[in-house]
Amino acid sequence: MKIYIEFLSWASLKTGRSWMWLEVPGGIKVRDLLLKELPNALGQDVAKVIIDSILNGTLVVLVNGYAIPSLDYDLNDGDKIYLQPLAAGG
Amino acid sequence: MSSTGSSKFYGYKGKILRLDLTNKKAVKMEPSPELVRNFISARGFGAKILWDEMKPGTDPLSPESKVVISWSPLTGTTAQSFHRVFVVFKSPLTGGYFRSVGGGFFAAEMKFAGYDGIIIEGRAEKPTYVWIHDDEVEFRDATHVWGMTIDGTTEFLRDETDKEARLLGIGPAGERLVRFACLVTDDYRTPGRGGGGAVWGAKNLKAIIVKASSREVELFNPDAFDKLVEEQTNVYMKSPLFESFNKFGTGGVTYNFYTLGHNPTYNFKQIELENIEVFKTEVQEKYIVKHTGCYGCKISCGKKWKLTKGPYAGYVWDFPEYETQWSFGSTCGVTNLEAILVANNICDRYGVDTISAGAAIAFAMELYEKGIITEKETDGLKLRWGDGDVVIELVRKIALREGIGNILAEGTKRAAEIIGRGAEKYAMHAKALELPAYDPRAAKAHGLSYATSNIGGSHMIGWNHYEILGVPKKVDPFTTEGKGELAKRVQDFIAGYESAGFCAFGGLVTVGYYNDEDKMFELISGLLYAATGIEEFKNPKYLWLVGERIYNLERAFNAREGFTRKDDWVPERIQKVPVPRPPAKGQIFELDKLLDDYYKARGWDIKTGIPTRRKLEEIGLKQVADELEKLGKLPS
Ligand code: SF4
Repeated sequence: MKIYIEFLSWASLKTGRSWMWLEVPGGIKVRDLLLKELPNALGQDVAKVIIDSILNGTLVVLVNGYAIPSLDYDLNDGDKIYLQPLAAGG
Repeated sequence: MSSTGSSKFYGYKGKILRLDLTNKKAVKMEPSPELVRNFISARGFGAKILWDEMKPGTDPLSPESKVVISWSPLTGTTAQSFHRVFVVFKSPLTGGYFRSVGGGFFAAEMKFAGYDGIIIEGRAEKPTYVWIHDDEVEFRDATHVWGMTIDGTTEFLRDETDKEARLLGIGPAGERLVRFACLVTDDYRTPGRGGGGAVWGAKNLKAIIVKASSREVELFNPDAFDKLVEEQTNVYMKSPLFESFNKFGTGGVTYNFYTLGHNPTYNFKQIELENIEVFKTEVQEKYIVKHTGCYGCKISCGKKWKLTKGPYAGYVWDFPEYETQWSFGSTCGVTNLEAILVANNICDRYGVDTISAGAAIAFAMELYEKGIITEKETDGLKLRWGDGDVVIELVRKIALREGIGNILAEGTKRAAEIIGRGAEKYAMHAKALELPAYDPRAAKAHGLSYATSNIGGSHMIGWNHYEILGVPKKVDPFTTEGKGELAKRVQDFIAGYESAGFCAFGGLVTVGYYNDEDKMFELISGLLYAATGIEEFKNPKYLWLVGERIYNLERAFNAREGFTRKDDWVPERIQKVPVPRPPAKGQIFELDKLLDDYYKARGWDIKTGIPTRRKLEEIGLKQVADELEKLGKLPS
């Protein structure tokens, strides 16, 4: 299946791209997509920066605009993942 | 319990300045120990003094109306982000209690000059400014600067007083009593919402300008205080929210929040906005030429933008914040960042609240689209969605009350009543304060704060970090369960730290680090105790109590003015029309259900939405209950 990933704000500066489509095995969870698929797509070093930021809470994972409760979230074909820096407005 | 009396505490200067404009009299009074202990400072001082001194039914634009300006015992110290100016008054827009907050350097300078707050009353016979130099207070003629923009006024009045003086004042919009005119300090820092600028304009008060000769604040325990400031600085540097605020300011979230279902488009119609990508930080970053900030704040969330191309090339000005990128952008269908910056510039210089102005323009655009108003009523302007030049022209017209601008300057609620023909349906406000850049349908506790807020449709009175940020805990923004308690918790939390004069963005950076509100209150109460030596402040739980006390007192102020449950409301579009775009697609705002839940959580009467005697006594407001009872407003 195909998953859309968008890197927002400084995340796009770190990855050098704003978005990408990833071909992944059906029924994959967000955690596996990040740990197994992302390094293939972005390279180990860049993927590590992104994954570390997610694990320390600096980057928030949204699926279809919804902040998922845990990384064990099941993905479906066509889902849109937004990797959004923890940021607030007023 | 009166507001003034005798006290001397560390951290405070022990003086509130009363400015009687009618008689050109300046009186210095000591804040009473009860005021200090029970309300701490800043928003707490404002709420209590306004309750004590402003009779119910007073016209906000009359000489009898008052304005309370205050800050904190931490203002002017090395603590971070406690140097805000809190302005409390009865709003000419909402007819109720209002608190408006701004940054800059004014509060710190006033503190150094020897004051904990200012009470403004009366009406000057002619345009006046007040020059404060330490103990000396002079009422001076402002006829020559009346009609000037803020930047011009600042330049002229600095020439006449001190080149380094700090000014808080109004522009031409305040003079013309635009109902959402704001106060401005340091050119573009604004206690922005609710029409404080019009209240000053009605008093013929152009500006207060101050210069202090010392930079001292006496602390109870300087060593302990220094350690806590070190911890606070550490927290800032390590917070996951620091980088984004520091790099992009609040504008860094415009695109992000769109993906969350906020940044509502086209006057809350919420259809997809083509070209939303221009709000991404990659685009905004190219305009940033300077980082700016308020006194004593490492976050420096202000950004200066420079325009180098297009019809507005040459502008260098404070960037449009998230709210302004929405108000002159998404809600008007505009994706021209340069036009948005220019509209922001006019607002800052003429003294207009950008949120209400943009919301009023989006409202007019929808009326034009629906044929409710035509070019006959718009002075020949075609109010088409997405036209940045039209937005700029309308901002100017509002500020100067020209043509259609004169109607919009009344605020969308009143403008809709003047226009009639069904226009009310498109006026997006709560208690007459224009709704800002979050959709209540996409975050129910946050929306509940719009509906129930004592100042009307404000995002800052209950900015729900649980729903919007997922901090300290992720909460599903679309469900209604438990949202009454959640809205209450966040409202009290904010009122608690605003009683210490803390900045909301500093608050988010801090809570984002600790992932725990109580830990943040521990830090603030530690700072308050080390600064003042007041025993009560030592206990972080005390901040929760003071927050709840302030929130209830503000509610009581409105109850005394006649506000009830019927005023806790959001427009029909929000209640009945499902959001058409993801992720909030299909959501509506379940007002009645949410209100019941909220009043229950608050311990207020469900029928009237007014605090009960039991609740008021529990939080130390017995006299407030007595007064409401005397007026027949206390629920039986
Ligand atoms: S975070 Fe921004 S608005 Fe708040 S005090 Fe710091 S610079 Fe001022």
